[in-house]
Amino acid sequence: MFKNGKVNTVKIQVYFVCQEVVGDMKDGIYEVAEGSTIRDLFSVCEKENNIFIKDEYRQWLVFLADGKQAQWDTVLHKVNTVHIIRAAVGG
Amino acid sequence: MFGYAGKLLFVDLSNRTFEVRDLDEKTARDYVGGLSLGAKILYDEMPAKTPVFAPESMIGFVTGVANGTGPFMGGRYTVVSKSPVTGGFNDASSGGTFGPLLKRAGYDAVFFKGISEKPVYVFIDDGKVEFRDATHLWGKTTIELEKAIKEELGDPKVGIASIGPGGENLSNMAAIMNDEHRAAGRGGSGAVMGSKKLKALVVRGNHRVQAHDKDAVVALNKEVAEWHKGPVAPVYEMFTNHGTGGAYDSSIINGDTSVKNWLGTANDLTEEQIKKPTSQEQDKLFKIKKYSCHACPVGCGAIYSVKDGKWPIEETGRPEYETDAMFGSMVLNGDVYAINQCNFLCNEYGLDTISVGATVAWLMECYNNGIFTKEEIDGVDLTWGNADAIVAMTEKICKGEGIGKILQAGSVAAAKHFNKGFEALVHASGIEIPQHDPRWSPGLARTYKYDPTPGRHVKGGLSIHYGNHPPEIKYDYTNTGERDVNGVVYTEALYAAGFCTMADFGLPPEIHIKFLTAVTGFVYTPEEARNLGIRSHTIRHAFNLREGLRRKDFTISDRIVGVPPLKEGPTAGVTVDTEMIADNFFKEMGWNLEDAVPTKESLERVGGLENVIKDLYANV
Repeated sequence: MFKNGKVNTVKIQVYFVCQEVVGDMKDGIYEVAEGSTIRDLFSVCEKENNIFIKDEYRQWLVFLADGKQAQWDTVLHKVNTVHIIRAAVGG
Repeated sequence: MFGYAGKLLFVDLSNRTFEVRDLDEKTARDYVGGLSLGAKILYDEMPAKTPVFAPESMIGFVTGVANGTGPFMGGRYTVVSKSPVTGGFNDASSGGTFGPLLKRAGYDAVFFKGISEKPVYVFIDDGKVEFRDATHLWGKTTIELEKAIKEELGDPKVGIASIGPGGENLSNMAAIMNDEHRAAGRGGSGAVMGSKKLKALVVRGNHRVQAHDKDAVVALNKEVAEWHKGPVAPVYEMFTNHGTGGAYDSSIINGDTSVKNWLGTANDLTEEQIKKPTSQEQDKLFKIKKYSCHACPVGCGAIYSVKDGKWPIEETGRPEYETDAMFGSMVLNGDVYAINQCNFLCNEYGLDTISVGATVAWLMECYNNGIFTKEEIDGVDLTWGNADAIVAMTEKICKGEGIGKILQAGSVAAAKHFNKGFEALVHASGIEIPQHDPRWSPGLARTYKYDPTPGRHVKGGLSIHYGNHPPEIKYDYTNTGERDVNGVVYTEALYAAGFCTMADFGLPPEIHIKFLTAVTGFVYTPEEARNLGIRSHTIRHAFNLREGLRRKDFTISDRIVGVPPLKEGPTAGVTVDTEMIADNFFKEMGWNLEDAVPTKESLERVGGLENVIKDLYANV
């Protein structure tokens, strides 16, 4: 995780498909420390967009990391793309 | 009794007679209404193994206790009959205003048997029953028909449940339409109406049904309103602004929605094809206003007007998620004008968009694999994603023209007719599968295959949202029984009371039982409330058992449960163990694993199923 006293970071392309939960959070490349989780990535997204999601709304989010289902605690190891999408209900 | 009109109407169309019976309190308490009361009455009144289009065959329109008595989201009525598609029990529900208006006309349920000599519509005017000639209305599309009847009666506010040409032609996909855009769509009940030459049931009245405790209903409604501002606020916002189609893109990406007749993944679609059919995007183009079903604060409906493009439509209902997907991702189409035209045609002709879309997708796969030539399908180039061809084939089905006449019977019947294309069929016991993928939410495999009305995403069990769980939970097929039965208990009681399926997020947990008590005054212990759901499921299942259907007779296509598994996408490699999930469910219900027959003990434990016990265990 550390190299020459610095934290190694990775760049991840994030797509949001859940505007009613995350508002105007922008699709884009977000940088997180190596070994970060989805939760860490989401915190970075919140800070960079200055939009902070209530804890009770987080149940409506699910994730895909490079197309595979992931959870809040999934470690982003060699992951290029994360989709943050709405959880399924009814319909 | 509170919450009920207290009257049931039985109509014989053969001789144009009717009988009014009281709804007794025990039956009301045990079966509540909707699909549950409907199944009970059908079980008791319709002889076993009646051919679906025979005079003795019955069709019922059944209200829920929440209809017109105040509870939010409680506006749905249910149609029950035998299904011409599956040969078993059928129930299909619809929102709008028809259910509450039927109750105001003075009846909790109306059942029809017999066959009218000439087309007829039955008008219930504040309790009074009138048979009216419908010869001049036969052949009319559903919206034309509603306008004509309202003009004829001089009343724009009557409730109308009707069939279009689809039902008249006895299509297996025929829906019953009300409020212009709402459908009791699935299982072919519209064909049962058509077989009786019954064009419409029309209702109005001033019969005010009182709730037992109005203050409690108001207090519970306040709780619902607060709930919508609380943890479910984002979901509420999506549904109230954009309806069910708001989740189209996310559902494709996560693997819940079918792509390419269940063979593909999101990778088979362009970004535009995923994005454009979402309601958020369609609303920008077409939305002119939103609307709500009776007493619904969510209001997931909207009216569209398509002013440009190849298929302008003055006014139509916004396509539901299921319809977007059926005429969108399922056939690799992203043309929203085509999706709206297909939706409009199906509604006008009174056909189920799910089954029509799936039938087009079936034929499209067959055509692209060389099973059908262009000449065999009336010269339509059904290349994947060809929007013009999708509309053209949908129109043929709706109008029963050319190959459309064969396709009106649905994909399974069409494959049998042509004796080919069986490998491309995706169905459960003959009915096409809706747009939620069991490979993503595996409990749907049990629900689709073994629910008494197979192939329904709105039926109970592990449910759609079980798919949101991590793979290590949702793909662990052991010990699913208790949760599966709990899901069934919840939805059966919900629908019996007349609530919408959107209550799964729109109502706080278990509030439907509190509403039930507030409206009727019936108090249910937790065990009694559980038995309500089990009894409802069991009576629907018992109808099928009495028809001779057993576990081996319920089928589901391999493809939909991952045989073989997909090679890419979020559900790559998944094969669902449907039978293990079913075994767990049957054990929890107290049913025999071999043939899915309930044990006598399990029936006695639930209570209120004496006729079922008599039929199954008369000689034991």
